[in-house]
Amino acid sequence: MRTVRILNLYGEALGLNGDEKNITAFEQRLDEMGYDHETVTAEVGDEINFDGFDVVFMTHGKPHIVSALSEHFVKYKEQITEQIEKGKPFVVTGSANMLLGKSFKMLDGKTYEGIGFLDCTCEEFDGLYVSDALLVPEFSPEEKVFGVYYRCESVKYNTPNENRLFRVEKADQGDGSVGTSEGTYYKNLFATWCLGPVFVRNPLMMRRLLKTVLGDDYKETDFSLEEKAQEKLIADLAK
Amino acid sequence: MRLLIAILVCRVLYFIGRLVHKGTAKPGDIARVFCPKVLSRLKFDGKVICVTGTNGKTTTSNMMTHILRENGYSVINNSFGSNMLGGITTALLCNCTLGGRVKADYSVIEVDERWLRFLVKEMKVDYLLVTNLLRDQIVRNCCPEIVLNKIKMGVTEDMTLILNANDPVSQQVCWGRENPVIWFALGENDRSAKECRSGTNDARVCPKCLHPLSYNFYHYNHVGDFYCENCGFKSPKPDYVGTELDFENASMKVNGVPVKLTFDATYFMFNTVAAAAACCSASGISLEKALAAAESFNIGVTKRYEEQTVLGRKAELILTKQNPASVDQSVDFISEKQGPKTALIISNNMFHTEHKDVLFMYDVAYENLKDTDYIVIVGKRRYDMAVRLKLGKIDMSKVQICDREEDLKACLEKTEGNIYVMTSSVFSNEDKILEELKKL
Repeated sequence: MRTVRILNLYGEALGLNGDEKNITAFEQRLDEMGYDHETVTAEVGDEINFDGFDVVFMTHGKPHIVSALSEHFVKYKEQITEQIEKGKPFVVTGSANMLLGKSFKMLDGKTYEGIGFLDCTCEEFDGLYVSDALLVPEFSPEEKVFGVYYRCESVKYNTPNENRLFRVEKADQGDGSVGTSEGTYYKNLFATWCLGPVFVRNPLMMRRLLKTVLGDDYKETDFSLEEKAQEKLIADLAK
Repeated sequence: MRLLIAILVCRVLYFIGRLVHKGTAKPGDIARVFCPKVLSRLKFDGKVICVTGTNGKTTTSNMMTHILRENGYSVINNSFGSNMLGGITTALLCNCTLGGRVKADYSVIEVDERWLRFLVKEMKVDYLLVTNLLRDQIVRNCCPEIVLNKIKMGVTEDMTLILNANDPVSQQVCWGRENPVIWFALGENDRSAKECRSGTNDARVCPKCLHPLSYNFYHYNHVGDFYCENCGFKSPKPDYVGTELDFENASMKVNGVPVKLTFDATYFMFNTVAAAAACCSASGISLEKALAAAESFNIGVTKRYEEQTVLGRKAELILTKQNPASVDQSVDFISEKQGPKTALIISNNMFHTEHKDVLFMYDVAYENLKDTDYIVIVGKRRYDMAVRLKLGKIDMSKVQICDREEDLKACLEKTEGNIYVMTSSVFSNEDKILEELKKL
């Protein structure tokens, strides 16, 4: 019997808006497929060995927490980069993306380091960008998913983001808006500025993640309720 | 002259507004056009006490007003209206002399968390009471930390702070400052829990060192008696603490002084301790006198709770903001009810903005509805709610998704027991659904 090991990186410190429910839903799918799983949460101060895990989740969090995590996270810059390059599945949602970039500047004027895996810098602004989003995933351009942004940081790419996760078909404009491309899909890194239960409610995303982690061990499960909810929401969004 | 015109315009508009039942912010907003920063021109004879925070602002400020008045002080407040700059301006301009003198002994002002920083640019605030900071309506406030930072921008050097010793988030208002602080708290009681039952806990890690934060007990969400084993951060020793809470008799003791209240909710007792702390500190009245006055304070008619008969069964309507902490309390309210029961969940888009992604439902512990016998879901986001319940391992065989409001009767007829109607707003199609309910 296969045991899937899941790392919830900074799960206690982050996990702001239902993002950790992506992990719960992932675990439930594994249950339905009959696989054992073990989820480990690593926090500041813990020694982390990424080798022992099948998938790593890092979720949206409060701005000051993300900045406070930077010092610990940057220590693992080489390990994380190596793991992503080797194809380890990573799921990064919302503000945790700031840690993947080069640096981010907070409202108090302080600048914090990221690991520089993404060629971008971020800056917190005194406001809030809120938008629903209709998104087209690069890995399945015939289909659509939906997401939501609650952002108080803007992102600036120094070079064009050639590994976008989504083409943004519909989202509001304004400070903090993501433009026409969003997120990063590189090898098995799924990084999106959308926050919350993106993988819970978009069966396409959950299936893709499960197939990435399980490979040939993937088994189909019942997504009919989620598909109906998604279909209705996307129809409402498209109006 | 500008001040006089602003006062007169405000009063005329307020009078007209009352006749046509319009809001109270507009007169103040328009007065501010005639006289920008009009509040800075007012002269206060008495002290100004502001009350802010996520939950309990209105109740606490109204109770403070009641306590002070019962003790012979003249008090003005903005209980009749908006807690943003326009509404506060209306309240003050309608209660000052034509020369702009506010003669009341106390001005008790409820202020929206995001607006305090603008208010203090125009007037001196002597006391600031922060009730708590919980996860609020996400489309307005994102997360408590954003709100915390906005409140901090409104703290001035000469302010006395009255803070919740059980709340590791809102107490950060005083961090890095020398302001005097008065702490209030509630002790462990029958409704306290060793584990957090709520869907959200915004202090799972210590805000100082990020190590896991431990709790001796929780009241709700992240509010409770906390400590950090790593850095020693812990609940401050309260100056005013409610103990020996007796919910059956709606009574408790504050610093050993007994008080019997008119309402038995935990948050109401919290508000009482906070109001007593503020009144005693600001006016010097004794705790005994403050609590004696609090005993006759009535929360009044609330639009957030209503009872009616539906299909010959008792139906309790529980209205909340789209705020995880409030909805969690509704879920707890239902889960604690005995006997057969049905939860009717009205799930819609975000109100005010109509955003369709209602992710706040993932911050609510709907898992606690597991012992509810029947669940009926209706509204534009009914399928999203069904997905949320499924994720919460609710037995989906007892969940009905009602696609059309006119089918509600048929759905409810398949259920038993009291009906608990959970709805997050009255700004979408809830009114229609509630009308349908009344016809059943």
